[in-house]
Amino acid sequence: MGTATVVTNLGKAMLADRLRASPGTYTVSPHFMAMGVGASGASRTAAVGDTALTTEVETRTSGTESVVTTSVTNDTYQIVGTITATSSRSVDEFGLFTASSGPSLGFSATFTGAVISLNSGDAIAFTAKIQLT
Amino acid sequence: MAWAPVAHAGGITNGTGTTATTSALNSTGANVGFVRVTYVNSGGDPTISDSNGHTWTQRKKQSSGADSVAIYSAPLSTVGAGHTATASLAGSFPDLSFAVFSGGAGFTLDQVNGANGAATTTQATGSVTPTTPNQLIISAVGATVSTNTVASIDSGQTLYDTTAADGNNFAGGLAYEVQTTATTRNPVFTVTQSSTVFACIATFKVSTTTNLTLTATQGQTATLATVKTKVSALSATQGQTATLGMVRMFIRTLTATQGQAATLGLKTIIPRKLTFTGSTDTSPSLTGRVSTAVSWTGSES
Repeated sequence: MGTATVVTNLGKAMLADRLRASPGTYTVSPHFMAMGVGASGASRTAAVGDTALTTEVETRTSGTESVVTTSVTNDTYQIVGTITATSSRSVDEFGLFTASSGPSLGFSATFTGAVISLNSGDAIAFTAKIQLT
Repeated sequence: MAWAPVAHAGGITNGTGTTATTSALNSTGANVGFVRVTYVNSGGDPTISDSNGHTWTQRKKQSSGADSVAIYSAPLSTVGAGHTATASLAGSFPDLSFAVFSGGAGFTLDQVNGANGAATTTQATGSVTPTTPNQLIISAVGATVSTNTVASIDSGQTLYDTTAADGNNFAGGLAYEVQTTATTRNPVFTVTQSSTVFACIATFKVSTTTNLTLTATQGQTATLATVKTKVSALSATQGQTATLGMVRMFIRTLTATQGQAATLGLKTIIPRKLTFTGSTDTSPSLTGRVSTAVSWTGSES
């Protein structure tokens, strides 16, 4: 799948802030999962400067968070959640946000080369991972 | 996975008026079954069962007085050869068709309709427009008058098993279509004799869940093989690891900021100045032969 994934600039700031005993700005983890349908039309590839999806659809879902091992023990933040389409969708972008609405995008992904077509009632079970190296 | 037909069979009562069982089919590979039953409804609806013990749900019934046709469905968990379906109710004179399909895991009913006609040889089911593509459409018909039979159906539907009227049972039939594009359908059944005809239609969709894993790596690793060069400055920013293998170089300034790891392997180094600039925990280390003294500048903030 032709997928681009990045931790955005906001995501980097969030990671740094949340290392503190008391985060000053990012007091909520990026557990709001969103999908969109506008990346292909906008010829957009996920980039660190992203602040929102191009055309977000459906309600953001609150995912289930965990820490898992990719290379080093517990080096990866993982969040799992399912978003169901309420009408036909051609999904080509995804993001993790720190709020249920608004442009607080910490993790941006586009998969414009492998759009996922959904009928109403179909769903995507997303697993998003941020590995720290 | 798309809907696909696997097998089908028909059946008729043998004069008892109570029970009809289809001939056996091999349902291997199927996960949904459909039954068309045509019957006299004065005593209610017949019980639908199958030889593998599944639970059947009535999806649409169309009646003309005491005459009915209905579509039932069941998710199939146990499949194989010798699979039959049965309709049973005293005085209902049931006859039925049984068809099994694959690609229906998690299926749900979408649209239904039904219609009757009197003294006719053609009868439309009533119009339906599936709400999504790739649906399975099941059409069913019943017709009175002994010796009547179901001859055909239009609209691109495939007519499966039909049963002929015989003085006790109605004529009946089941047809299907797998759509790729959601298109309005109002198929017309044709029977051989002018009679009361009752028909219905139901569409079934399958909802799917796609699993997608997206991974981003925060931090980068830049590795240089053995080099012979003059490095003006070697620096890494947050989250990066800059690794140099065996080198022979002149380093003017070796700088690390918070969170960096600047590693030099076996080396001959002539550093003019080793500068520590960072807030905490910065610890550039040198190993191997160092030919000149090292001085540190920097502060802990």
